[in-house]
Amino acid sequence: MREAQAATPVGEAVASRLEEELAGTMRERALRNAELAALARALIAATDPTTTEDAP
Amino acid sequence: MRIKALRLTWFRGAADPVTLGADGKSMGIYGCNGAGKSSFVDSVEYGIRGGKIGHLVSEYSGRNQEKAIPNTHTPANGNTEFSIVFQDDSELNVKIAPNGTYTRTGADAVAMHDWDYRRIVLRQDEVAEFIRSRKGEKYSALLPLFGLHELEVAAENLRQLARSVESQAKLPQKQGALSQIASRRRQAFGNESDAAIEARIDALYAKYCPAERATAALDRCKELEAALANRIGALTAENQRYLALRALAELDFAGAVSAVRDANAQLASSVDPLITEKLAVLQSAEVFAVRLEDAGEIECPACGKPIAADAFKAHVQAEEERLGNIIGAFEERRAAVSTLIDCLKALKTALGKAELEQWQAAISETAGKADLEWIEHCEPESYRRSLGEDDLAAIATHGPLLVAAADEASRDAPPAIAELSGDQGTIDAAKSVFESQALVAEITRIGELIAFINAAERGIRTEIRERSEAVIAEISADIGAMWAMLHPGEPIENVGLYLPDEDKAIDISLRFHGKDQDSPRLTLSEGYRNSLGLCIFLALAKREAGSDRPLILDDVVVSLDRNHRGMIVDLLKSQFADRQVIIFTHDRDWYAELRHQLGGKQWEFKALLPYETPQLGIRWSERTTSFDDARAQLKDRPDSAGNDARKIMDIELALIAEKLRVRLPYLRGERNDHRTWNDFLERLLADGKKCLQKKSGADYPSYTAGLDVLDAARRLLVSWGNRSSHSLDVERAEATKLIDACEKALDVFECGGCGMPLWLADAGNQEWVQCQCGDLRWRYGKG
Repeated sequence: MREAQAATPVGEAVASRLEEELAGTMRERALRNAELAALARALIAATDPTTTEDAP
Repeated sequence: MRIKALRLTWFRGAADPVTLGADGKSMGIYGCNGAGKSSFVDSVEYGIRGGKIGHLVSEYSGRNQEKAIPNTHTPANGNTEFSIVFQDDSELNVKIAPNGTYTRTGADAVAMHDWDYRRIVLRQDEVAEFIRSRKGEKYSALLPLFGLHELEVAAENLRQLARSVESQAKLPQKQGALSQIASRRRQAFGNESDAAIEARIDALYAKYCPAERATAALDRCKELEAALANRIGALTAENQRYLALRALAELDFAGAVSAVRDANAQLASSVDPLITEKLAVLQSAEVFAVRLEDAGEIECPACGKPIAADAFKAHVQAEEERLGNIIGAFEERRAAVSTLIDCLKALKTALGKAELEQWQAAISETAGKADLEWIEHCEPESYRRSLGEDDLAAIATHGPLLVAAADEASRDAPPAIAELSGDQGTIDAAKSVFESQALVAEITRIGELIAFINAAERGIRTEIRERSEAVIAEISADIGAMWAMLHPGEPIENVGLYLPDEDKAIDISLRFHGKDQDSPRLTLSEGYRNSLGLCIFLALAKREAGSDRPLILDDVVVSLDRNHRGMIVDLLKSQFADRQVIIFTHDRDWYAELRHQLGGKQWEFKALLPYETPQLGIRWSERTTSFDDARAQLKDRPDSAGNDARKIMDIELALIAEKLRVRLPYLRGERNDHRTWNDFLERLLADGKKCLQKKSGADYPSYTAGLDVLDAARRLLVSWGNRSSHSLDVERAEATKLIDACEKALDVFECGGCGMPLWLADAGNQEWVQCQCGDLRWRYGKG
C-alpha cells in the first residue's frame, strides 16, 4: 500500500482508508456493487481537499 | 480422516450390500476389468463432490446423473445408497432417490465435502489431466494450496473498485464536458496556450477595468463581464441592436453541425460491426459453452470469432479496449451535440432580446420568415435525447441563414461595436477555459485515485506471485525428487513447475536430454507424461491440509512399464508411509508385486471376483490372490483357466524367489528376464529341503509337508499347465485341480498360525526370515 502511495500522488486520508478496507472486508469476500459504490464515493470525497475533513 | 469401510448398495455396479473393509489400513485391491473397483472410488467422489461423479457427466446421464448412478437392475424395492465409515467410527450415509436427488446424514465433523477431490483421488483417465490442462487451469488447481485466497479476493475487489470509482465520479461525462470546452477553446483561441489567453484577458482588463485590482484570471473575467454589461447598458438603442446582431452573426452553426456529423460517422463505423457481432454471439453462446470443455480452439463469447484457448485472455482484453474506444466516441458525440445545442440556445436567447424585435419584423417580410418560425418551434434540449439527420439538415439550413442575415444587418455597425462584440466573445470563451481548470483538477484527482487503486492491486498481485513462487519451489522439489525415484539416471531431469509471465498461470518445465523444455507436451511420451502426472498428483497430495485423509489411486499405472511400476512401491513406502493409500488395479503382475513388497501390518490386500450380472453385483473373492479370475473361466474355457493359473504362478513364484533370495543360474541375454514358474519352483524345491522349516518344539525341522504340496503343484503344472498353454486340451476337472494345487502351493509360504507371509521378519541377523509368530522360517543359503 505504501509502495502504491509512493508511486501515485494521493493523500494520506485515501491511503489510510483503503489500507483499512484491505485489512478487513476486502480480503474476506467479493464486495457487492452497492458496497463498492459506497467505498468509491468515500474515496472520491477523500481526494477532494475541500471535503477531506468531513469525508466519511 | 482414514476410511474404515465403504459399503455400497445398488450403487453403480453394486447389488446387495458389498463392503470394502479397510479398517483404516492401506489397501491393494485387484479386480479384472469391470469387476467393480471404480464403484468404490465413485462413492468417495460422490461424497466429496456432493452428488456428482466427474466421469459420468454427459448428455445421457440425466440432470442428477440418475441414469448412471443406480445399478441398472435395481429392483423396485431396492434403495441406492452407500455409507462411508471413518476412523472415528462416524458414518456418512447417503441415500439416492430414483430422480437422483440425495440425502446425506452423519459424519458432520469429517466434513467430507471440504476435501479437495484432486488431492485425494487419482483415476486412470485423470493421470495426465494436469499436464493437458491450460496454464490458467493449472493455476486454479494449485491455488487452494497456496493459501492465497484472501489476497486473490482483495486483488479482485480492488479491480472492481477502480471501475466503481470511474463510474461514481462520472469520469466519462466529465471528460465529455471538458472535450466540449476544448472544442470551444479551439474555435476561439486556436492553439494558444493558457498563458497567451491569460495575456489577452490581462490586456482587456487594463482596457475595460483600469481601476480594478483582481489578480486571478477567472476573477478578472467576471469583472470584465460586469464592466462590459455596464458599457452595453449605456449604448444607444441602435448600437445595442448592432451588438446583439454581431453576437448572433458569430454563431458557427456549420461547424457545430459538421462536428456532430463527424462524430456520428465515427460512432457508426465502430458500433455497426459491434452490433452484428453481438447478434452472432447470442447465437453461438451455447456452442461456446460446449466447446469450452475442449482444449484447442474456441469461439470468443464477445465476438464469436474462432480463437486459440491460450489467446482468449488477450483477445478479451483487446475487446475491452475496443469497447473503451467506442465509449470515447460516444463521449465525443455527446460533446458535439452539446455545442450545437448551446449554439441554438444562444440564437433563441438573442432573438428574444427587445433590441432585435425590429430586425426580426423586417426579415419576416422576406424569405427569413421560415427561418424565424423554425427557431421559434425549435426545442434545443430535446436534441440530447434524439438528434437525427433530418434535424441536422434543418439546423444546417435555417441556422446559417439567420446568422448570415444578422451578419448582413450588422455590417454597418461602428468599429467600436464590432470590437466590443469581439471582446465580449473573447471574455466569454476565456471564462469557460479558466472555469474548466477546476474540472481538469477534479479529473486529474480521480485519475490519480484510480492509478493508486490499480497500483495497490498490482502490489497485491506481486505478493501473490512471490508467495506462489515460494510454494511452487517446494512443490517442484517434491515433484523432482519423486521423478528421480521413478526414473533414476534417466536423461529427463529438472522437472518442476514455473510461473510464466502472464498472471494466474502455471506450467511445467523440464530438461530433456540436456535441452530445456517449456512443456512436457513437447517431448514426453504418453507413458512418461502419465508418470509425471502421477508425481505431480502425489507432490500436491503431500501438501493436502488434512494429511490423515486417504489417497486413492484407481488403475493409474496402465501405461507404465514394469520397471517404473516397481519404483512406485518404493515411492509410496518412502513418501506416504504414514498415509492411508488405497490402490485399485486390474494389473495382475503389479498386484502380486504390491502384495509381496508391501504386505504386512500396514497393508491389506483383497481381490474382486469377475463381474457376472448386475443382479449379483460386486463380489469379493475369498482369496487375496487372483486365482478366482482363472476359476471364472472354468465353465466355458478350461484351457484358459489352466493357462491363467500357470501365468499367476510365473509371477508369484518369481516374487517369492526374490524375497527368499533364491539364487538361480545365470542365463545368457534376455533369458534371465523370461524365466517361468518351472525355474523358480525347481529351485525352491531344491533349496527348500534345507531352507524351509516349520517349528516343532524348540527345533526347526524341514517342512516336508509343505515341500510335498509344492511338488504336487509342480507335477500338475508340468502336465496340465503346459497343455493349457500349447494344445488347449485340458478338461474342466483337470483345470480345477490344477488351480487348487497352485493355490495350495502358494499357501505354503504363508503361516497357518499368524496368517503372515514367511518373509515378514528377518530378525536383523541376515540368516533367516520368518512369519510374525515364528512358526514358519526360511533359512538363507541352503540352511
